[in-house]
Amino acid sequence: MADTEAANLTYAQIDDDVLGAMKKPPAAYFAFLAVLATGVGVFFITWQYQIQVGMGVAGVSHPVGWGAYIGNFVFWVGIAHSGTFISAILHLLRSKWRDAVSRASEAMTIFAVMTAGLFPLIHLGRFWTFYYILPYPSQRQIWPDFLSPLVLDVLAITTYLIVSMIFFYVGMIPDLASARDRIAATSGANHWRARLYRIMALGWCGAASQWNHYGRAYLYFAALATPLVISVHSVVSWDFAVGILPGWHETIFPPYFVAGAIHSGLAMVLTLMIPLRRLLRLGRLVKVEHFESVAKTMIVTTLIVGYAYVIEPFIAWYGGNVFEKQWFWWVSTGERAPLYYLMIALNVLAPLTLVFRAARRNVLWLFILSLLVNAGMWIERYQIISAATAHDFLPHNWGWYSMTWVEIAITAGAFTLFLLFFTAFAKLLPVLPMTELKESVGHHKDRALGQPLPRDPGGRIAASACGVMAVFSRPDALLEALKHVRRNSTLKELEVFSPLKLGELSHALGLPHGPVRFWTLAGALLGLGGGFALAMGSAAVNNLIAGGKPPVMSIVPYCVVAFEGMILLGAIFNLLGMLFHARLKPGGRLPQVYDARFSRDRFGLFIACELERINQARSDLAATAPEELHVIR
Amino acid sequence: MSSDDAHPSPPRPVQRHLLRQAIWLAVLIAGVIVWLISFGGGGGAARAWRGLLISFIFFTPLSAGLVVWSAAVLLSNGRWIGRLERAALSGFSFAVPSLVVLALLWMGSGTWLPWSGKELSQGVWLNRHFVFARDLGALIVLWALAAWYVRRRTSGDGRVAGGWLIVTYCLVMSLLGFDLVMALDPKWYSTLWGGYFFISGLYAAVTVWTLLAIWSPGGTRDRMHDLAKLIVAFSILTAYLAYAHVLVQWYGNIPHETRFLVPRMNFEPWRSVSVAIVAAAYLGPLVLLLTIRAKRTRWFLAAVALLVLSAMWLERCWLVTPTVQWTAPPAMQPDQLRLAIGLAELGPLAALGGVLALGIEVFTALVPPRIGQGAQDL
Repeated sequence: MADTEAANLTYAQIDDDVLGAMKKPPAAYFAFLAVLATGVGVFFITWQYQIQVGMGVAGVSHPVGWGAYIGNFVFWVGIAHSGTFISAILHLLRSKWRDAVSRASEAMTIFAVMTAGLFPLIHLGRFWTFYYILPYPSQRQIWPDFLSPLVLDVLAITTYLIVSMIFFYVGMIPDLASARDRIAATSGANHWRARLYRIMALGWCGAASQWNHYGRAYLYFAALATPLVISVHSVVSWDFAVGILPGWHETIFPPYFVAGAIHSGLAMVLTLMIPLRRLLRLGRLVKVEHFESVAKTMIVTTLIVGYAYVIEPFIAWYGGNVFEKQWFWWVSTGERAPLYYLMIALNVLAPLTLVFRAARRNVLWLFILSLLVNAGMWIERYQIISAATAHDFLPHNWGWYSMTWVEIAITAGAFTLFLLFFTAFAKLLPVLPMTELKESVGHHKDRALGQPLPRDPGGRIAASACGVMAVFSRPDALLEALKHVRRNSTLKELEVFSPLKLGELSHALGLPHGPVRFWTLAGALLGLGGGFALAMGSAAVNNLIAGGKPPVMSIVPYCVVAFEGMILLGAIFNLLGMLFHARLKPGGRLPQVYDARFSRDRFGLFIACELERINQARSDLAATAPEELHVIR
Repeated sequence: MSSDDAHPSPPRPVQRHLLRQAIWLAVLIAGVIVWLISFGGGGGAARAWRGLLISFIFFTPLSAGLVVWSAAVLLSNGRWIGRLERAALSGFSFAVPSLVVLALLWMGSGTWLPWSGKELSQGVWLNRHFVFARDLGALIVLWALAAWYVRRRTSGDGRVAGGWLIVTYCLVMSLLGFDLVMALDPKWYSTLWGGYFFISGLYAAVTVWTLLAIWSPGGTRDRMHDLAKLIVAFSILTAYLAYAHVLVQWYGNIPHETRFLVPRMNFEPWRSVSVAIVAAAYLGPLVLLLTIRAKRTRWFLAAVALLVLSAMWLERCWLVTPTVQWTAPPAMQPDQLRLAIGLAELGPLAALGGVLALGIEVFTALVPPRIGQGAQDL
């Protein structure tokens, strides 16, 4: 059983596999980067061409004002969903299989949101006017109208990007410390990578006091990110659903868009992780069982998407609305019919093969299927967005839309841009969460440890520091030692260093939950109130009656603004609280008693004391049978 | 005085079972009597039948949802369920009562269904006999699958049966939601209605499961904490789906859609009921169960669960009654709106609640505490 095999890995082997994947890449890697960079070049040159010549070079024209660009936007926002889904929701559900794919999924989220964010700008034509939509105190008192779902969309996407980046970065801090220590040991402390990771690791040393605040903060990030995932694609769906066009105005759009987004995101996880596992030789850590779990989750999203595909035409018929009925008739039997049935085949029928275990465990089929679902979901977005406006209420207003070469080039270029980001990430940052993998292998067995890294000679034992450090190779031994010292020793100034989060550590040290939660709650409440205040205040300034809605007290849509504010400020305050209490800052200094092995595979228990009590500390720690004992004078 | 006199020994388990069963039987009989009396009340037979409908759409998704929760935890490899699984499976005891009540509603549909005997644009789809025949058939299929699952679960693994059960639950509850609630006003429709109906059913189910867990032997503080988190998650999910309805229809402002919102959001007494439902059922758990201590305190969690269940039953009234009042001739008159919660509504609540509770008592007396291969008390 592969899980057993993975559980037999040592902490050092996990480090070696993940950090080994970051070693200097071969020439083929740079050749691939060059190909992607060429695609990105085509993307930007084509965009520049469109800016210079005008939007006429795109296919969007009356009556289809929203075409492939908005379709691409929705598609990429959808791709971005699974990262946070896997990371946040599965973290809350304590699903172990997330560990193998969570980091890459989070990276995928960030790059997908960045790619998605370009498309509204491309669609704008004169993209530099985008700032009109931002809520800033303009001297002309022109505020955005928070009744507009497009403004809500800007808030949601911006919040999602910021929170996802914070979540991605915070989750990586202990791993960056591992990378920092390894690069410093193998390439020297002045290597550019060592400097980069030293800045990014924020002075992380794996002390119990840091883990305590970090663990709580990470949990709150997950709790904040989970509803955010649901909200973002719901808000995107409302761009269409709150309009009254047949094919758009549907209450089922929010959950349907969210399920579709997770569906396509999971498919993209497979598209990226299957080759990545092979190219970076991560087969010991990323198993077929992990892909199978992704596939099982895809069965759920397939069923939800299939449910929506059935309900939409049923209700169009049931309601008896002539416009709805003619629209669905046209989509399913007219010129668009081939795309409609292809969408159903790729998004529902093909993934239904995953109900068979053999299909779920066939990596080649999973890879092919992931490409099919990606194609299917792109077609679905294209279909939803461009078909509704092409065939609305009045027959004389009906039209047609097809992509021009400019739109095709920009669409294809976006894929190369996304892949360029991801390829760079794969070699620059740890692609798997080492600390979480270490947690999942367990720590109850006495196993052979890998070769330890050389100990950092740079001031680990400082003349000014006084105390005794005991080093352990197993966390259960550390916990036993800690309990023994706390029970029997009169010396109470203790610190513990660990390369992974040990749930029992805070309890064994008697650490309280910590005050980060109050920061988070304060930020969330401030954001909630601030969101309502911003929406109502700007409406009071503008005081425009738009779409027959009351300008100031439109509580129903303002809930979205307040919600996004709550999540955004909650996450930012959570981050600030964690940084403050865990004493983390860019390039932060490590304590002098720190040992580079504490980020890899060793645990430290340090008793701080005056010089005259060193012998007592040493005898207290010696009774715990540590692997090493160091006196620090 | 002997010490025995001072501290009388507690009744033995069998006696306790019998005592509780007798109490629930009494509640059931009292509910039926009250309901029968309500036929002669102000709203007449139509209101009495609709009172039965309200409790049917409250208890049926809830009881089937209890069994579905067991399957959902099993299929998601949840190992925390342990001895609480029996409590979830006990929802199966409502199978026969729910089928009987649906058959009764069919029999009385000529009296209470607002559009009975009218020709509608949906044609034969909303022929009342076809409506109830397919609903009864669908519910039989659902309970048959539940029986298969319970049987497999008490003797083996049950993953395949569980998968089918979950999918069928979502489809059947969607159908019941469309047919018995949305179709009360045939001119109003929503693609999300089925989704809201089955998710809110699962929400009520996990709340009842929590109440059962609080009093069952496996109901440790850790398990209460887990279930309380599920209550919070499903309150948010249910609120999200309700909000998705309101936002789209509020923006669209199309008459055939706002006919659902207007009597509930614009006029009393249902506007206040809407606020109460939002406060207690949709947002209540998020606020009241925010802290760890709240989730792990037995009496407080029980109080919150009862509050949520009360609000969800009120929500079922809120779904049915304003629709009938608002669309009854002369249609669209605010002065037609009444709170209308009396004997006709409370009688079926007691009767069906008594049946479910009695069934749970009997089920737990017959089925051993530990079920299946994977059950672990962690």
